[in-house]
Amino acid sequence: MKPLAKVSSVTLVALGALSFAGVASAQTVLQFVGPEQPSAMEPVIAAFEAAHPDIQVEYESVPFNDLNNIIQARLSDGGTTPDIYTADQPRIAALVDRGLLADLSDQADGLTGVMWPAAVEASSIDGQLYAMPISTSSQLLYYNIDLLEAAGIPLPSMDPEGRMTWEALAEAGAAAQAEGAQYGVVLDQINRYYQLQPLMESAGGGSGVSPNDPLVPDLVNDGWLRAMTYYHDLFDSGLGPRGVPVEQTPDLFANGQTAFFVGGPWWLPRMTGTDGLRFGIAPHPYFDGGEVVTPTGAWSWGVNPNSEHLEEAVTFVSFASTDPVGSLETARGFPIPPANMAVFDTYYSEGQEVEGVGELILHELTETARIRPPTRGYIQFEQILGQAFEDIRNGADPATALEQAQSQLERAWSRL
Amino acid sequence: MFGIRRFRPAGGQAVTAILFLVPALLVLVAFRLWPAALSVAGSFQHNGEWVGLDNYIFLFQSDTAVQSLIVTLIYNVIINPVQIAIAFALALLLVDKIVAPSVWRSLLLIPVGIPLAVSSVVWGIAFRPDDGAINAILMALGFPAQPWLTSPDQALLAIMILVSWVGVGYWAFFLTAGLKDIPSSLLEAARIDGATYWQALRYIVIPLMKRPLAFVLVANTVSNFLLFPPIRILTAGGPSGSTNLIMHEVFLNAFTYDDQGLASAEMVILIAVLLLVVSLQFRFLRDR
Repeated sequence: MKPLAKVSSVTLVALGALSFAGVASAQTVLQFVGPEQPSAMEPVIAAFEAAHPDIQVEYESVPFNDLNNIIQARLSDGGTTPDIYTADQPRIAALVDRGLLADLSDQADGLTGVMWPAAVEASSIDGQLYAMPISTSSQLLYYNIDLLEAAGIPLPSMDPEGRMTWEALAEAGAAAQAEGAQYGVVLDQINRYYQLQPLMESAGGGSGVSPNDPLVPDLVNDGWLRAMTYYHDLFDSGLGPRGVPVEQTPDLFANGQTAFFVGGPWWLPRMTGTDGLRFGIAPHPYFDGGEVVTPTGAWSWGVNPNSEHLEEAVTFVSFASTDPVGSLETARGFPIPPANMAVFDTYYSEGQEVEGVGELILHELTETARIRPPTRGYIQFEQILGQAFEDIRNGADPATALEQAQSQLERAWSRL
Repeated sequence: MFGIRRFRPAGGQAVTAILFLVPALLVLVAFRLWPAALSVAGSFQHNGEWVGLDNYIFLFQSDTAVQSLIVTLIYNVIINPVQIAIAFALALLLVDKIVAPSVWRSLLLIPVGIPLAVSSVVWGIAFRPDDGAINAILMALGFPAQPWLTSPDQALLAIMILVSWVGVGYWAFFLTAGLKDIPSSLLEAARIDGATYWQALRYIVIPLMKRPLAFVLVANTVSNFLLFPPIRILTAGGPSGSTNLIMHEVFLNAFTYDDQGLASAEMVILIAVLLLVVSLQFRFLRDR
């Protein structure tokens, strides 16, 4: 062997040994994409890494509005990362349809009696579990005590039996506006289906998807028209704001401009932390003579079926969702209520900002919560309805806008 | 001498030229021609199956897609001439009619340095009908408040204002460079011959500016046809489809609905329209 060849073979062996050493000590790195701030993920990731020293989780935060498009772009051509991602529950059917979620049914046994049934239902398609439920949600009626008192409006009760109607809310909002409030009624996710579904359901219009066929829209009926006329009038009368995007609505309540705000419990820390804001909480409203319906559903965590670390990824989502330690750490970082019932009590006794809110949310989750329709056409449904809602908010005739949305949706679903 | 002799053999020269061109050609093929070919091929498919012209037929039967194409054309027919006219006027001012031109040039370029997504959010707040800065100014001046982005009649105008706030300064910058290339002797000769400012502009400056104007017009047209961030951030195409520029439609189909076939077909239509418009622009602004 020539000296040069000898040197290179020695080098090769040495390099090989080095890289082996590298592999032996290397950790599996799981990539995780979601909409929460990285700080919200720190507790659960730290707890998981402590329990599984050979696995490391790298979290990447993306804007809420772009999450679904990013997942779509990264996974649709068989991409192997992210290994784990946050799945918006109503979109799970579409994600499954496109083969972007691994079947987690062998994890389903641990969920019965542990999770809110609605969260499991919202994470399953045809009885198969495709994502681990992480959080759930509900909506509350926030009111500004100073603005209501100034207008002589009695403060609403927190008791679900004394729930306000949407009609009474509009009247009280107008009265408060007459006495100086800039806005009477502001909705948190002001033009999104999540926020508005309870109006249509309460008015007897159904979810908007035919109960007989998940790819047939049902938007043109009396219930939808009643709800959307109410919604139209809310903005036409100036009770609510036009031109303010979803991200900016909580500010309108926090800065004392708004008498009533229908919003999620995740705003409680923000509102209690705002100096000079005196506010109270009441149950979500309903239509006079209609059924009481509140929105629910939130995030589940799913696994990329093409992940190179499928087993580790499943271990992580199960830890975060059902493990007693893991689920508590997940809830600790999260601003919205946990899907895990066992954790729920701890979560609200530790972090309850307003007396009785935990009980109220518990009541809504067990009695009035309704998930969004599990159709694989949900993405088109949400998008087209979002535009219709925004048009109605900006003054379009509700009946015409709903008819247009219905025909647009029929065309869009014909592509599926 | 050695080099020249070495490259003299005909075949060798061609090979060398090709070798030098290969990297650029590879990049051109990999990043331009190949994706374009994929897009055209994709426009005849739906969910991986060959469907012929179905995607195109679907689009031309869809009110949303047709309206989007019309809105895109209206937007471009208005915004391109307006932006170029304002940019040209600004460039003229910057070249010889203003004190401290470099300060003004810097000020005009500041909006270009701000990401369009950021300016969109800020303008969105300024356009808020109830408490936005623009209506506050209008009302202080005695005008009524306007609905701006919430009105189907005004939303496209509001988008044009926002986009021009960025674009006008940017294009004025290029036109300033062009104006400075005009030999001052020509303008002096015209003045000595008794030409007015407007005559010099009409018969000397504008004809000599044809090439920079052609570049700016074409580049501006392309960027306006492909406009996307303010639509995505501020209006999502509304109200009532009035700002639904075709790039937003392409985005929705490609990334929200995962309908690659429709998105590709829309992209092919967009590129065809764009090529037609740009070739017309080149024709009118050709040096004669």
